Amino acid sequence: MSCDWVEQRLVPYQDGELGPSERLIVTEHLQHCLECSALESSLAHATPEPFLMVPNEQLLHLHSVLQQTLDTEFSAPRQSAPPSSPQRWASWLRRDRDMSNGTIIAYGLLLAACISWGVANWIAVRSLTPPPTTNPVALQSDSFAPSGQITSDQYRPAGYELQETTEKSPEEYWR
Amino acid sequence: MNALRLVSNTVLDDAEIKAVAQEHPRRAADLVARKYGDRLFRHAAYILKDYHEATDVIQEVFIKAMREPRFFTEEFKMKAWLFRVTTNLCFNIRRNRKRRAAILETVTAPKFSVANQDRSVSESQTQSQILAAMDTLSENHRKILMLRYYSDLSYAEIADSLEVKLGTVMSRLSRAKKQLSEVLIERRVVEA
Repeated sequence: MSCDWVEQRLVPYQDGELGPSERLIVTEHLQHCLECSALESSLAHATPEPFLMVPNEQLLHLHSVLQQTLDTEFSAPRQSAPPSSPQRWASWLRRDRDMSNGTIIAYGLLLAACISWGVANWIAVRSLTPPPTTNPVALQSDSFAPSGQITSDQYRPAGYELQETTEKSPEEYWR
Repeated sequence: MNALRLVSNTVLDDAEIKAVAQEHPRRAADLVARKYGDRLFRHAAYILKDYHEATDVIQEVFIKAMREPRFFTEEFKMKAWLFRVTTNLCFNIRRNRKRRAAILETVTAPKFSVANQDRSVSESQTQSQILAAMDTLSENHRKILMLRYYSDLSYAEIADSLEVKLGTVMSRLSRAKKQLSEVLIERRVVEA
């Protein structure tokens, strides 16, 4: 098994939260991989352990406060919180991402802006009409055909005179 | 089942407490306070490092619990809910404290001692350094480390408390611990 696969499972392995088959794979890997073994050791040293010994008087004070609080809550007319929905809205989106309401709303607005921009561009492209065809050369002289098209006999560079040409046979050419 | 006979010295499981709540909600509330009060208090104390603030937080948690209409219903996960609300309230207080400190330019020193008579001095010092190193981590990483190692919640309970999947708990915990390990190596609290 790859070191990446084992590395992701080292902490659950140390915490005893891996299934038996995965645990066996990690154990075997650690026996022959020095890198993963070193990482496992450094993770073990970095394990926080509960060390706080709360003084008894603090705990007694806490329970005394809680008793008074509960007495007050149960003696006063019950003010139930409005029934909250069993799930926060868009819980499918928050599930693994811990998104706040503001983040979800911001993403929604960004998505709506992108869709609006796309639709606006599509409408603009659809409404474009092809420009009228114009021949820039035709605009320069009045002698051209009304359609603006240049005919081959009209186009003549300055100083050029059209000469009639006849095709010669090969014998005439080489005579 | 007459659970009331058992309440004097035994700690009931959540299903039995909910059964008691059907007829004696006040008694059920006492049972919840007895079962979870100390653990929630320690959890809050680790985050806030102040016993008085921790007491205030636990008081507020139980007020919210008693006003939650689903609290004693069958499908409601009491433990996960209590730890979630406690953690969120504590981190809100921490954030407000930091903002106040930034404005007033004051530093609030922790108000409890980390000394533990059951441990050697060096072990206590190492653990207090680990707790201090956790302050450099992100809020999500700190939450998950505290829930797992200081409050001893299982991975499934952490997943319920944080409302994430089990796989997310494993990956987040792995990243958090790796990051903590790097900070501790950098600070020479542990050897590389």
